[in-house]
Amino acid sequence: MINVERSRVLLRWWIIAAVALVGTVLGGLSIGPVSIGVGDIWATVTSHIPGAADAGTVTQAHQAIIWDIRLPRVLLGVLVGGMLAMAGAAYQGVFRNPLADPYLLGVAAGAGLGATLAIAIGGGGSALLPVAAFLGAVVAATITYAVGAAGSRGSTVTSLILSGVAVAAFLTAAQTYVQQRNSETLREVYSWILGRLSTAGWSEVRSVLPYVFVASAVLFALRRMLDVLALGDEEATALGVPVTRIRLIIVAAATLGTAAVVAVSGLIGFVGIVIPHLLRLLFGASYRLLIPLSFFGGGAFLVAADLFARIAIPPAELPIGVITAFLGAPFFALILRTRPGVAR
Amino acid sequence: MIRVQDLSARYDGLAVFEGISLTVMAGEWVVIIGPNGAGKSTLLRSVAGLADMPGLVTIDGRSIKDLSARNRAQQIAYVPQSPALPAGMTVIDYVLLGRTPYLTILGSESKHDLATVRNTLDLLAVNHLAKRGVATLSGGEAQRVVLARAIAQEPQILLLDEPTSALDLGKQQETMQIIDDLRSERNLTVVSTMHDLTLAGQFADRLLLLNGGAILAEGTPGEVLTSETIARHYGANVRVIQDPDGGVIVVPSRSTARQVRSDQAIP
Repeated sequence: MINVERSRVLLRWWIIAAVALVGTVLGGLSIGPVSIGVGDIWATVTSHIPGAADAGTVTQAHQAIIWDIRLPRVLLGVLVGGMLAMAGAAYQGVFRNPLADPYLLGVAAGAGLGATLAIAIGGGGSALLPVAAFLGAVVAATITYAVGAAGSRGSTVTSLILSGVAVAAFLTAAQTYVQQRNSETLREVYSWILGRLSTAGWSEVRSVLPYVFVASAVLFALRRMLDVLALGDEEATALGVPVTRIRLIIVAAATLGTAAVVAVSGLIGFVGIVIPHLLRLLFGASYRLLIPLSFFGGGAFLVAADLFARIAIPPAELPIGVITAFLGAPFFALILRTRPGVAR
Repeated sequence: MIRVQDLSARYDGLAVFEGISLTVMAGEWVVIIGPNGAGKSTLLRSVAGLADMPGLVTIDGRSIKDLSARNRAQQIAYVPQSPALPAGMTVIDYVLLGRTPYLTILGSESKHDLATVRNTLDLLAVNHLAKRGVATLSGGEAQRVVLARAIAQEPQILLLDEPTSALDLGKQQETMQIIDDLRSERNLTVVSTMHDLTLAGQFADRLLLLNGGAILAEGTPGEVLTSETIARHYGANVRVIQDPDGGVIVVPSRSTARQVRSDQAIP
């Protein structure tokens, strides 16, 4: 009986999540300076499947808008938003801390320093930027883990978080220094820090996809372990789980995925911390459900935010980091207020 | 059968206990008593394999250090004094965590695991709570659910740190009775720590008094719970009354307690 009920409840959330994601993706593809119908979108997308019919009556211009401009950007939004939310949920689970976000272990500060150096050395639009940001993020998280885990009693959660604070403070200071010495980079660095989903064709999607795929596959596979870790190190150990090793694998996967998306999209805030909480408030879910739902929810949210960023004050674009918090914070506050029973 | 040989524990360089040996027979319920800080919880955690202390702990002749973590967890269930009850986790999901030792790291529960959990929920009469969040349960409900998770582990040995400390009188008795019923039903070996000496005496086969780094008294409740022993080790003044139904009742007595304190104040 419980078995059946369980799967029925799970199925319902899966359907809601899938509908939300598909809905926002379709919105992102059809809405813009040029409105494009769902039929044209379908015909264009299917025409790129090998062996399928060509796009038929869809004009070349519409095909180009869909395939070369909107689709890569929407997919990047799904990957970035999904990865940040999923990594945020994983961090909150591993660190048993509701304030944990994907930038907890100095990833943001490290990526920021890397990006600033790349802009200062290579100039605006430097091809080095994503690589430097990615390396900065990974190096920062590695230092944080090494420092936090070196304590006499092993890698306790608190020592890792504190180590992250120290590393982030140091790298942010370094980043600020480099930025001040190269004040002409200010505008570019600032735009990167606010985050953006601008794409040039498919290259960003291609570069992010392998990392997001591996990281989210690992987190999805270990979602049950996050529930076990929620019991604390001692009880998880008593259940036969190698806590330190599992924690390292989860942190490594979440950090790698975050570093990859941060490298192309900058520091988009809010998604990683609030989407998992929003889903918790709505569904009261365990990590078994929260990890996959976070990917759907984060992806849908970022695509919607990006759509708003594009159409709010045409032809200009708002920075997406501004939109995520500007739209997301009131919505989150509303949910928090109207669902007091689950906000514990 | 649990056998502890020459076990020592240190905490921040200070010895908690040294060279402790004890044996717990299969199906027996042994309660470890002793004042705060005597090392009761540390002893329990050592038996659970959670504290790597010098000395030997064997389960049916095999050292727990030779067992894999999963294998150990299949035999020993450990319930700490204040188990974590994660917000948002439902009772059914929580009890399912008890099946972790039978799953691979990437695995998810089989039909058999779900059936085991369902039976456990029935056994502990918490079926009606299945969809509730564990963080929203009352103390008594939570204690049953935590026990259900431990039982879902299908252990031979149940280690309980202060299982009744957060409960009212009725729930204390109820919980102890549940544990005792589970013990006879599953032939479980139970080792628990407890502060309530009367309650401990009513359910334990044997009491072990841990204090000053050693086991200072061991035996049936009637042998261990004497007013002299309790006065010496707890610094408490009690009267021990023979219960007409068998067993002993430990009654704290206030006037003499005051007396002792004023005595001690005089140099």
